[in-house]
This record gives sequence, structure tokens and C-alpha cells, in this order.
Amino acid sequence: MNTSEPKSYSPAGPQTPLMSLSTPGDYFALLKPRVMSLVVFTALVGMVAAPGPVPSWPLALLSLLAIAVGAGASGALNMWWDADIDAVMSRTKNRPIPSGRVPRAEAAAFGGFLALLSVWVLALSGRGYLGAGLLAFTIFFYAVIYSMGLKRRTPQNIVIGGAAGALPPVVGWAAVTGDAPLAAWLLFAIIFVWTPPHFWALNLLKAGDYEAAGIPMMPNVRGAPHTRGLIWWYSVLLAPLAVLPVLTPAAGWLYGVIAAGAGAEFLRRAWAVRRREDEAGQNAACRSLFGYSIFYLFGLFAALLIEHWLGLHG
Amino acid sequence: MAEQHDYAREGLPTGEVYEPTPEEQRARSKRNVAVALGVVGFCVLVFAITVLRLAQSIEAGRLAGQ
Repeated sequence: MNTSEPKSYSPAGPQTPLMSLSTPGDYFALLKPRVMSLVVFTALVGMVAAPGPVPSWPLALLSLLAIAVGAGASGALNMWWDADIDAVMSRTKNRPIPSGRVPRAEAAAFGGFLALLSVWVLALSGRGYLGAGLLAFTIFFYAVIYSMGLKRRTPQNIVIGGAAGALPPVVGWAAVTGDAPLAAWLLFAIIFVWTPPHFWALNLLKAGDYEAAGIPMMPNVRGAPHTRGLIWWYSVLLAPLAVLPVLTPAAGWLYGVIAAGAGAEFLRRAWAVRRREDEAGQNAACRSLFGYSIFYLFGLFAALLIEHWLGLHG
Repeated sequence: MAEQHDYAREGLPTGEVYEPTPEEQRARSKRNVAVALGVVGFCVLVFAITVLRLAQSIEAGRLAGQ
């Protein structure tokens, strides 16, 4: 066959290969593995922090796998919907769809299929159907409410959309107990309130990118000073909120000490973001807070995990 | 970003069949292996859940009978 004039066959022009060159690695990248790892970790902590011993660890691990696949499905659906803006931003332009490695429709089908599969598997492996229902809601919230609804419409996008990222510990808790009491929702609240200062610190550094893509993030809609103020006030709410689990059987004194100390450091860094006047100082403070915020959340949940392994909780 | 069509599967509008390049064939083989592993993994997963659930039910029944 004559391949010198593929233009007549390919709607995208001569640069488009007639057959996909995508590899399994490209599909794995659609799952946002870094986000998935944080989801797995927080869901695991939700399982361990739930009252009583985990009824069956093999089933709990299969539930965890379902939660991980559900998180990956959300990522794939998000990349499908946001492929146009991902192509504009330096941070995302090399993702599988904008780089041309995975066709957009395949990403949608892949994400949709994995979403159904993950909910179905969690319904089988979890205790009752609450965990599966919450996982389905999480995927729906991230893909539809956040990606399709909020992200391009309001600077409150990540505030409300943060609920999707905050749900995994509740899903994990519900998967092993069939229940989601107040203590589980406290873990949700910690991640929910942590999300805005974490993302806005990054947005302040990459405001140009979001502006170019037309995404109404807080720094380009309300300005950097307003965003720095919000980061501070969310941090003021977060630091004491993160200590509250000590009032429940889910956490003990070790967690309380770590949460209080780490929260004080979070506040110190958030204050630096608010107060620094010079541009270089502001950027350094944002970078410092963004990096520390990841360590902070990981530290809180790791403290819960260690406490339960050592039997120091409640 | 471009929409792509798998003309190799559909046949070209001219009636010719597209011959994949070695690179395309390698990529397709990798995808096929991944799909096969996925299907096998899924079967193992469903089997494992079934066995574990059965074991739980038997144990619960035994405890209830005591």
C-alpha cells in the first residue's frame, strides 16, 4: 500500500499514525499513579483506623486494589475531559492524550470501564455495599462534578472538588466495617481542609499556566494577595482540626503530639506565604509550603497507622 | 491532539489493508499481552474473592452453630 499520502485517510493529517503506538505504560500513566498511591495510603489508614481488627486482610487488600483502580479510573476520565487544557499547560502537556500517544476516546472508554469494574469488585470484596457506593460517588464527584462542572467555572473548584480526594479514608473505613461514623468523616475533613492551601501554594507558582489554559484558579481570579490570605485562614482551620481525632477511638496521644507539632509548623510556613513581600521570597515560601503540605498529610496518616500497629490508639 | 482511526482493523477506504510498521506491531503486541494479563488477573481476582467470601460464610455458620 502507498503510505506516502496518508492525509487522505487520516482526519488528523500526515503526522497521525494509522495505528496506535500506545503502550501499556501510556495507559498506566492515564491512571495518575502518584495520586493513586496517596489514595491507597489514605484508604489503608481508614481501614486500619476503623474500630476492631480488620476482619479479613486478604479481602481488605482486594478492596484496597479496587479503591486504587477506582482512583485510577477517575484520573483517566479527568485526562479525557481535560485533554484540551492539558495540552496548553507545561505541567501536563506530556500526558498520554495531549502528546498523542493515547486516542482521547480510548481514554474515556478505559476510564469508564475501570470505574464500573472497581465499584463492582469493591461491592464483592467489601463488607456491605456502603464502601462501593462511596467509591462510585467519589468517581462521579471527581469526573463529573469537579472535572466537567467546577474546574472551568469557579475559583472554588478545588475547594469543593477536594471532597473527591478526601473520601478515600471513608471508603476504606466503610469497606471493612460497612459503616462510616463521625471519626471516619474527621479524616475526610482533614484532607478536605488541607486541599486548598496545598493546591493554591502550587497555583501561585504556576499562575501563568492556568491563566493560559483559561482555568479560573484563585490566584488569577482574585489575585495573589487574596489567595495568600485564604491559604493562611485555611491553615488556621486545618491545624486544630487535624488534632481532633484524638477525641475519638481512632487516634491516641502519639498522633495528637505529632498532629499538634506538625500543625504548628504548617502554620509557620503558611504565615510566611502570607507575609513575604518580595516576589522571590513569596515563591520560596509557596514552594516550601507546597512541599511541606505533602509531608504533613503523609505524616498525620502515617502516625495513625503506626499507632494502630503499636496498639497505642484510643 | 488528534483523533486516530484504526484503519488496520477497518480496512482503508481504497479497499487496501494497511500493513503496520514494526514499531506499531511491537506496540500492539505489548497491548495484547497487557490485555491478556488483565483478563487472567481479573479471573484470579473473582476466584479469590469467591473463595474468601465462602470461607467467611462457613466460619460464620460454624460459629453460629456453636
